[in-house]
Amino acid sequence: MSNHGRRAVAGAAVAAGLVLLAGCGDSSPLDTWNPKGVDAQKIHDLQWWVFAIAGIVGIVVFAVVAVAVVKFRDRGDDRVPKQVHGAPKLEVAWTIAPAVLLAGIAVPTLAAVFDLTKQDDPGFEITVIGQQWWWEYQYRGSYNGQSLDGIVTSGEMVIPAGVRVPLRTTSRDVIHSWWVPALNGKRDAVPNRFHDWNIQAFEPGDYLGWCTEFCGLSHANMRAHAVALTPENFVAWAKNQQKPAAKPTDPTALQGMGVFAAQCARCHTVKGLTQTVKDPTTGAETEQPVIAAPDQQLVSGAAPSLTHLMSRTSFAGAKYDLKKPGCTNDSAYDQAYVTGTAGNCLNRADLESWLRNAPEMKPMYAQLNDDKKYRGMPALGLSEQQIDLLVAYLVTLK
Amino acid sequence: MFTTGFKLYGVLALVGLLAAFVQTLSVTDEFVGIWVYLGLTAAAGLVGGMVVYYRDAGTGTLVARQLRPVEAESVTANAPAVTPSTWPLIGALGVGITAVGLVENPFITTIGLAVVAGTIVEWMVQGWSDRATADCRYNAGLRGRILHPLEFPVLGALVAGFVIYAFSRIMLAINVTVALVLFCVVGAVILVVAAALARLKELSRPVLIGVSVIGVGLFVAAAATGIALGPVEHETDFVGNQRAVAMKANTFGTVTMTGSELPTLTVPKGTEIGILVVNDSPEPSKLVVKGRRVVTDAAGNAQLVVEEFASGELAKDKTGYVVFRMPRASDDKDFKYTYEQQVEGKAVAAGLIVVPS
Repeated sequence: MSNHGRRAVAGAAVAAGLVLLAGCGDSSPLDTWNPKGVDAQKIHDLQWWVFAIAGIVGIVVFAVVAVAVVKFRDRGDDRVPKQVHGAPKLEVAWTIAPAVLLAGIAVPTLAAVFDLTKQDDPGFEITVIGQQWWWEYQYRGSYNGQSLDGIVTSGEMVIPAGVRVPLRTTSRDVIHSWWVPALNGKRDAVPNRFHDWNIQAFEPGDYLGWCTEFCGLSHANMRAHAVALTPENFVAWAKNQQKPAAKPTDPTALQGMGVFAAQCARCHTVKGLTQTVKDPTTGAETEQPVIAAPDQQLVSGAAPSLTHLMSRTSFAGAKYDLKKPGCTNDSAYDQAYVTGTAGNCLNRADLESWLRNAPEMKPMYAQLNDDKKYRGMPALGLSEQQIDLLVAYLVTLK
Repeated sequence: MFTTGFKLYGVLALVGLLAAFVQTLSVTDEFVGIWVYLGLTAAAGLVGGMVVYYRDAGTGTLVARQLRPVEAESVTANAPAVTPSTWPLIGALGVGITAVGLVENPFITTIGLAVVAGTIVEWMVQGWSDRATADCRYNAGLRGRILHPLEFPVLGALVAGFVIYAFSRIMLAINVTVALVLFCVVGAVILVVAAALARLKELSRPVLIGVSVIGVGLFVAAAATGIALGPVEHETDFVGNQRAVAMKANTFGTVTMTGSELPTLTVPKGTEIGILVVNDSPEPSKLVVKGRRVVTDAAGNAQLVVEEFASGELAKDKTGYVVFRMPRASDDKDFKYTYEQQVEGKAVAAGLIVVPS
């Protein structure tokens, strides 16, 4: 072999080696070869079977091509190869063999598809709603005697570990696709339709997901978390989620609540948030609940509920961490979902930047459209003092 | 004997006669149409007879007859070969259909006019191409180059439309079980016949044409029978509109009306919710959902509007559907959503709809 040839072979070997080494990375939360739930395991088992068959077929095809290339290469003597017209045995063989192979793939594939679609009944279900560019989760039913009705979260779906939870995906604007690869396959979220799906995690943990249907400018930033808690912690989490937000006692936070009611509550809901309303005729002052009206502000008609913001670990469509990295790796990880993030764990820098100018942190069409509505959170033009007051209020929402 | 002109008027007369016959069978107290058709027949027959008598006023034959044999041969050899034409027949059919449509139905008139328009185009191009050169084959190719891009898509669409229509008539005329058996048997027969034909060493043209004609004939006969029988009443208990199939496939939940209190429904805001409704009470009932929506008027003032979404009225054990959308989370004041079972417009049972924020 010439020097040139040897260099080419060496280069190819190095490239192939690098590709193989890339598979050794352990920091790959979207890895489809690392199932952590019963449905993902089914997909994984099927995947191995199909890859094995496809691999054997590939090797055989490459081998036959290689043999043909070498054996029947042009030897320069211009001989016409032996001409064959029809070979019934061969033709029957290469018709039956692919049919058998395809049947070998089709039967377990169909079985897996039907298995994945079947739903269990743990007593509750979660509606997964996509909108540009975040996910909302609404709970219905009860678990271990604890009612889950009315619980609404965003960015992070919380489930009890070991329980196969039925899901229904839909969308409020364009088509999205909900996917947490460690726990199950993808399911499209289509406006005005409900698609059934499931999720189950063997062990407690935080499983990353992503929107996998291109849905506009910030599609790449539309992440999702599925957080599996122990059954006990899940019940405690649900109890906490059903409580309204307590009125802060700290004067700064109280001022922040006023800023929130004036600026943020047009779209964001905080259950329990009230404001003083003066009757114009009698002059009497009463506390009235503040009702968000995202249907008049946003194209999707919805904004994340912030009632228990600090019980999550991310914000802005799960793009940014709400906690500092050290706080998510401690042994009491589950507790964050039950009691909420402590003030000293807050990722204050990103949260303040978000409040300062959200479209700068995450691309959005945050200008009024022809219907006078926004697509995503606009820059509110808050002063630094208002931002500080808001953060003081937000950390109380546990 | 059958000159071009005679073909045109002869068929027109036949169509008129046929239409008069059909009209006689279908009408008992109105005879104007019959006289119109008979008049058409008489007029077309008279003109047809005249054009036969005068040989379409053509001179070619007379000229050839008066020439010496050698000259006549030369005239025939140099004259462009004219393709035997069926367009007069089809044109006459179109005119006849148009006339029938004018009496019976505008849709038939449209079909007749379309046939006439097609005939005009085809006949003109054929007449032109027949005289383009003395070479028939070249002339035929010339015609094909101009008309095939038009003919093939139109014919393809017509055939596809006919096949779809015919299948739909056949399937509507039979129930589900018969359809399953029929199509399995027909499929098997086609497979067997095709396999038998494939095994023949030589497939003669008459056999192929014969099999095709029998197949198409049976298909057309089945479609005609299906049209004559009309659709059977398929078993269904679903009362809804044309979106029934899509709605049934996208149900958010089911509500059974029993005349007593309805359960609380929890639904997400801002998405279309489809509820399957079953009436389990003896009275014909409907389910009415009462929503709220804020609309902004021209002056920019927001106003609260009450919206009602209702299923159709359902007899006992019938199933229907109601679709609604709640744009805003519910509360205890302005946005308190409810739904109720109504009998003759009066609420007999009610429930709450919760839309979490």
